[in-house]
Amino acid sequence: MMSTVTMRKRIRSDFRYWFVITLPPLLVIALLLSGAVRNWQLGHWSQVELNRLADEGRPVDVHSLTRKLDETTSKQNAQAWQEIIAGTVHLRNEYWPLDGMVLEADQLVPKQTPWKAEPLVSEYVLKAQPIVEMIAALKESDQAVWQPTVNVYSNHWWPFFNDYQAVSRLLTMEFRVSFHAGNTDRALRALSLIDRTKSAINIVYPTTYLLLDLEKQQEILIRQSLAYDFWTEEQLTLIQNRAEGMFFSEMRWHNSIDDEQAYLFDTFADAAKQPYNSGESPAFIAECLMLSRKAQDIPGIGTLEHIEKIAKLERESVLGRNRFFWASITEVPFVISREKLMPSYGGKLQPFITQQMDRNLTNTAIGIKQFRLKFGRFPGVLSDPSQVGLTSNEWTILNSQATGAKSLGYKVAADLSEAILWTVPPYKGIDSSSAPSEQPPSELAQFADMIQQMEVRIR
Amino acid sequence: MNKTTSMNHVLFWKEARQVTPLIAMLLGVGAILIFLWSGLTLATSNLAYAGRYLPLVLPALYAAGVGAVQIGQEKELRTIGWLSSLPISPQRLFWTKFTVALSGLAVMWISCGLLMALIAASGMSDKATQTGIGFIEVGDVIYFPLHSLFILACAMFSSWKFTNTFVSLLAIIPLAFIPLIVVSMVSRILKNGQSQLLLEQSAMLTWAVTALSMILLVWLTYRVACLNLAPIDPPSLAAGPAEWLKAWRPTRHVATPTEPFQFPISSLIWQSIHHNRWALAGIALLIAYGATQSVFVARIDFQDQLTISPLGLSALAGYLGVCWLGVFAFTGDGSQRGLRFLADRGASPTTVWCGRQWIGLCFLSCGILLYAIASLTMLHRREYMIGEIPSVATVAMVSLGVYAVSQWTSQLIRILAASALIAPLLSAVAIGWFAFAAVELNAPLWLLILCGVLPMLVSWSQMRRFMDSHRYWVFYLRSLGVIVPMMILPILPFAIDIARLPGMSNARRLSLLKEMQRFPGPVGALWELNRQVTPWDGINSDDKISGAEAETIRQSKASGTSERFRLNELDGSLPHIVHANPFVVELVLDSASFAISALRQSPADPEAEAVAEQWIIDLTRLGHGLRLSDRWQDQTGSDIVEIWLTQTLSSSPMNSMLERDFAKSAIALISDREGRNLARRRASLLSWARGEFLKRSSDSGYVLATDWGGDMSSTKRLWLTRPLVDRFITASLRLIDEGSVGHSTIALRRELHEIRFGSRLAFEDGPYSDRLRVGPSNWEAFSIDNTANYPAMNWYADWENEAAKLGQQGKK
Repeated sequence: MMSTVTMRKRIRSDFRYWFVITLPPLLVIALLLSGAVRNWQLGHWSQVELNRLADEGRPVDVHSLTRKLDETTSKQNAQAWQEIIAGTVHLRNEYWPLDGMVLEADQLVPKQTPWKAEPLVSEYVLKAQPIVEMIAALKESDQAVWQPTVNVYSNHWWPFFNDYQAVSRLLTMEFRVSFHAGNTDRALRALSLIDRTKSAINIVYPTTYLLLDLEKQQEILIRQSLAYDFWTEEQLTLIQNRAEGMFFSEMRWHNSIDDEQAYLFDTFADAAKQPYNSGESPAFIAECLMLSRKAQDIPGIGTLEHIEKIAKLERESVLGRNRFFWASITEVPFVISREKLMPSYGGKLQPFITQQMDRNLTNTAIGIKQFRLKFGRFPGVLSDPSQVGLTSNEWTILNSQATGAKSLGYKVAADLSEAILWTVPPYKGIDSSSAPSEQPPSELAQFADMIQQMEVRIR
Repeated sequence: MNKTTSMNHVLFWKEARQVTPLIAMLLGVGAILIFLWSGLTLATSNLAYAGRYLPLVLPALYAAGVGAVQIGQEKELRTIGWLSSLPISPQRLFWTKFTVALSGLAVMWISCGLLMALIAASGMSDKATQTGIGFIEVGDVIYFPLHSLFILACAMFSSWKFTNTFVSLLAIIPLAFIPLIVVSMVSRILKNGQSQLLLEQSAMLTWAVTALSMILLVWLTYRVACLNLAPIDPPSLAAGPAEWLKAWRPTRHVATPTEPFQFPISSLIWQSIHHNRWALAGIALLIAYGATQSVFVARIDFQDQLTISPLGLSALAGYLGVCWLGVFAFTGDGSQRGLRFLADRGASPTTVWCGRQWIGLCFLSCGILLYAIASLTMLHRREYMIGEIPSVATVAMVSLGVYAVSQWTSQLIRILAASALIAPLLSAVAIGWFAFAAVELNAPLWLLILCGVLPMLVSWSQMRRFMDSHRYWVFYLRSLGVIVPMMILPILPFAIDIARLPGMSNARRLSLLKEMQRFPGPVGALWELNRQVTPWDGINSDDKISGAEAETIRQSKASGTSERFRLNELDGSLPHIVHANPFVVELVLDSASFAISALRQSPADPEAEAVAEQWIIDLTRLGHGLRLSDRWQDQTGSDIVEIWLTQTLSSSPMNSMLERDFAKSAIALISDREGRNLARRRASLLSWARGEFLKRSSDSGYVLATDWGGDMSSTKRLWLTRPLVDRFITASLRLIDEGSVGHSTIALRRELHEIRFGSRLAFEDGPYSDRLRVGPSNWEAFSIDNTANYPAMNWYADWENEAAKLGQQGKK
C-alpha cells in the first residue's frame, strides 16, 4: 500500500524530470515558431511598404520600371538617333585603328604643331560630317530618348552603352580637329553636341556610368584646352554654363535608388518562385526598404556631410541585429550576410561624388583662366576668381567642415608661367589616415589618365 | 605441436567468422552507393568528388570498426573471460586477432582497388573529370593505406583499453588526430627556423610521424591486451589499518533516483541515460563542439585554415555526434538484452520506443539551441561574416534527418561497430539525396520533412519485432522498405510536373516530318556572310600605329562600301542561298544606313546617290538569298533586311525614287507575302528537325533555347528544353497560318512570350507585344538586337502591311 504522500512525491519527481527533458525540444519549437512569426510580420510590412511606393508611382518591379522609362522618355528623336548610331558604328568599324592612335588621355594638339594622327583623324571627321550635322539638327527635347529595350536584366542596356560611347568618341574627335584648326566656334559646337548626346541618354539608373564616362571625356577636353590661348572670355563663360545640374541632382539620386531597387526586387520576386533561395527573405527586403527610405531622407546631396551620413547609415544596420536574427531563423537553407546582397549606397553615391569633383575642378580652372585673361596674372588664392563671377560653392562644397581638409589643391609655378589645380578626393581626408596630398598628382608619378582626371594646368 | 596447430586453425576460423560480416556489410553498402552515384545525373561537381573518395574511405571505416567487433563484442558478451581461461597464451590470442584484423584490411584494400578499377573502366571517372577536378593525387592514394593501418592500431588499442564498446569507438577520434597534431606542432617549430616548409618535407614528416605513432600504439596495445587476458589477481589478503578502514568506507554513489517514478516511461528514459553514461557524455561533447564551432567557418579571418583544422573538423564532429546519438537509441551497450527483458515483462513497444528516442531528441534540441546561440553571436559580430551560414531551421531539419536515418540503421544492424560506421554513410547519402531533390527537382519542403521522418515511423512500427528479437525476413523487408518511399516521394511532384507538360504527340511529329519532305530541296549555290573585309585586315587592334603607317596600309587595299562585305559577289546571275550571322547583317545595315544619311545630307550629290542605290540593290539580293535558306536564323536575318528596306523606301530621300528599277526589285522582294510565308514555314520545319535551337552553330548566330522558360534548375532544364522548342515550333507554325490570312496573332504571341520567358516578364513589356514590334507607327522600336534574339518577334507586324502597300503603289 502506497501512502498519498509518497504518491505525490513520486508525481512531483516525475514532473521535475519531465520538465528538464522536455524543455529543450519545446524551446526549439518555440524558437522556430517565433522566427516564422517574425518573418511573416516583416513580409507583411514589406508588402504594405511596396504597395505604398507603387501608389506613389515609384517603380517596385520591372513592370513599373518599364512603364516609368516609357513615360519619362520621348520617341521624338528615337529614330534619328538610331540612324546616327548606325552611321557612327559604321565609321568606327571603318576607322578602328584610330582607337589606338588617339587615346582619351592624349593631349590636345594646338594649331601649327605637327600631329601624327592628323591625316586619318581629319579624313574620319570629314566623312562623319553628315552624322555631326544630324546631331546638330535634332529637335530640342527635354526628355531622354526612348530605347527599345527588353528590361529583363539591367545588362540589357549594354549594347546602347557601346553605341553612345561611339557617338561621344566621334564628337571628341570633332573637338580635337577643331582645336587643331584653331576653330573656336566649331569646337564650342562639338562641346554642345556632347551635351546633347548626354541629355539623350539621361535616363536614370542604367545609364549613370555611361553618362559619367561621357561627362569625363568632355571635362578633360575643356581642362586641357585651358593650357592654351584658345578661348575668349565670353566663350569661357558659355562653357562655364554648359548643361548645369543636368546630371547631378537630388532627384536623380533618389531616382537612382528607386530604380536599382526595382531591379533588385524583381530579381528577388523571380527567385522567390524557385524554392530554397535565401536571398529574397522578407527580412532582407524589409531591410532594403528601410535603408533606402532612410538614405533618401538624408538631405544635402553633393556635400561632404551627405557622404558621411550615408556611410554612417550603411555601417549601422537599420533593422537591428536581434530582429534580423529572429527573422533569419526560418530562412531555408542559408542566412545570407546582409552586406553581400544589399545595394551599397556609398558605392552608388560614388559616381555622383566623382562627377561633382570633376565639375568643381573644371569650373574653378575656368575661373582661374578668366581671371588671368582679365587681370593678366594668376590669382594668388582660390577665392580670387570670385571677382570674375565664380561662386565659392565651386571650390568649397566638398571641403570638410570638421577637419578643414580642402578638396582642391592650387599652386602657381615659380616662374609664373602656369598654375596647377588638382583635386584631393574627399574620402581620403576623412576615412583613411593618409593626409590630403599637398602636391599635384603629376609630381607623384601617377598614371597618365589619372593625372588627366585629377589635374589641370592653366597657362 | 599438432594440437597447437589445430588450436591455431580454430582460433583463426573464429576470428575470421567475427570479422566477415563487417567486411561484407561495408563492401555491400559501398557497392550500392557507387551504383547509386553512377546513376545520378552529376549536376554538381561536389557529388562527383565525394563519390570518388568512397572506395578510399571504406578501408578506414573497416579499420575503425574491427576493434569493436573483435574485442568489444567479446567483452560485451563476456566471452573474453572464457577465451583467457583457455590454455592459450595471451600473446598468441593478441597476435591471432591482430593478424586476422590485418588480413581483413588487406581484403578491404584489394576489394576497394577493384571497385576503383571498375569505376575507371565504366567511364564514371570521366564524368567526374569533366567537372573540372582531376583524379586524386598519387601521393594521397599511397598515404591512405598507411593511415588506415594507423586507424586500425588506434581501434585495437581503444577497444582493449575500454570495457565499453561505444566509448572505445568514441576514443578513436582523438587518437586518430595525434599524428596531425604532432605534424602541425613540429612544422610550426621548424617554421620558426626557416621561412617555409617544402611540400615534400611536410609529406615526409607526416609519413614518419604516422608510422612511428603506429608502432608505438601497437606496442601499447600489446601491453594492454596482455594485461586484459592475464589471469585476474586473487583478492589481496593484506591486513592492516587500510584494510580495516575499507569496511567503514561509504558505498560508491550509484545514480539511482531517490524516489521511484510514477510512469513507466520515466524509468525507461532514466535507464536510457544511465545505461551508458560515458558514451552519452562523449556524444554530447561532439555535438556541443560541432554546434558551437562550425558556425565560425563563415568568419573571414578563419578562411585560410579551413581544410584540416579543429575548426574545419567541427562540422564533421557535430555530424558524427548526431549520427551516434541515433545509433545510441537502439545499439547502446547491452540494450538488446535489456529490451528483451522489457518485452518479456509486457512493456508496451510504443512506450519503450519513446523512452529510447526521447533522450536523443532532447540532446538534439540542446545542440540546435547551442547552434542558435552561436549563430546569433556570429550575426551580432557582423564584421567577421562572409557569405552564408546554414540557418537554425536548416540545421534543425538536417540534424533531425540524420538522427532518423541513424536510429533506423541501428535498429537494422545489430552489431554496434557496423551500425556506428554505416549510419554516417547512409545519413550522408539521405541528406545528399534530399538536397538534390530540393535544389534540382524543387521538391517541396513539407514533403522532404515527411520523407526525413519516415525512418522514425518505421523504427516505431518495428519496435515489437525488435524487442522480441524477431529478426526474420519480414523485419528486414519492412525496415528496408522505407528506402522506396524515401527515394520516390521527392521525385513525384517533379515527375508529375514534367508529365503534365503539353508536349508534341508522335502523330503530330510524323505529320510535320511528312510535310517537311514535301518541300523542294535547295536551289542555288551557298554563299556565306560571316565577316567583313576592312582595309585594315591583318593589323592587330592592339597595335598603336601612326597616321602615315595607316595611310600606307590602307592605300594598298581596295576600300569600297558594300565590297567590305563582298556583297558584290551576289551579282544576281545565279540564285544564291545565303547563310549569315544576324549580327553581321547588323554591320551591313549600319553601313547602308550611313550611305542613306549621307545622301539625305547632300541630296544633289550624284556619287552619294549611286552609293545608296548600290546598297539597296545589294541588300535586295542579300534579303532574297536569306529567304532561300532553310535555317531559322537566316529568316531572322531576312526579316531584319526587309524591315530596313521597307523603312528606308517609305521615307525620304528614297520615297522619291520608287519608280527606279532598283527600288522596284526591292519592293518586289518585300511585298512578296506568299514567298515569305512559304520560306518561314519551310525554315521552321527544317530547323526544328535539325534541332537549330538546341545546338550552337559554326558561326554562333543561333539563338539557343538554354534560357527559355525563365529560371529553373539544370535538371528541370534538361527535361524541359526540348518540349519548349517543340511548343515553340508548333506555336510558330500556327502563327504563320493565322498571320498569313490576316487574323489576329496576339494569342499566339502571348504563347511565344510564355515559352520564351516563363513568368519572368509581363507580356506587355516583352518583345512579342506591340511595344516593341515594328510598324510604320513604331519604326523607332526596330532593334536588330531584339529581332535577332527573340525568334519570330517581328513576324506579321505592321511593317509587312506597309511593305504590301508599297507593292500596290508600284502596281498602280
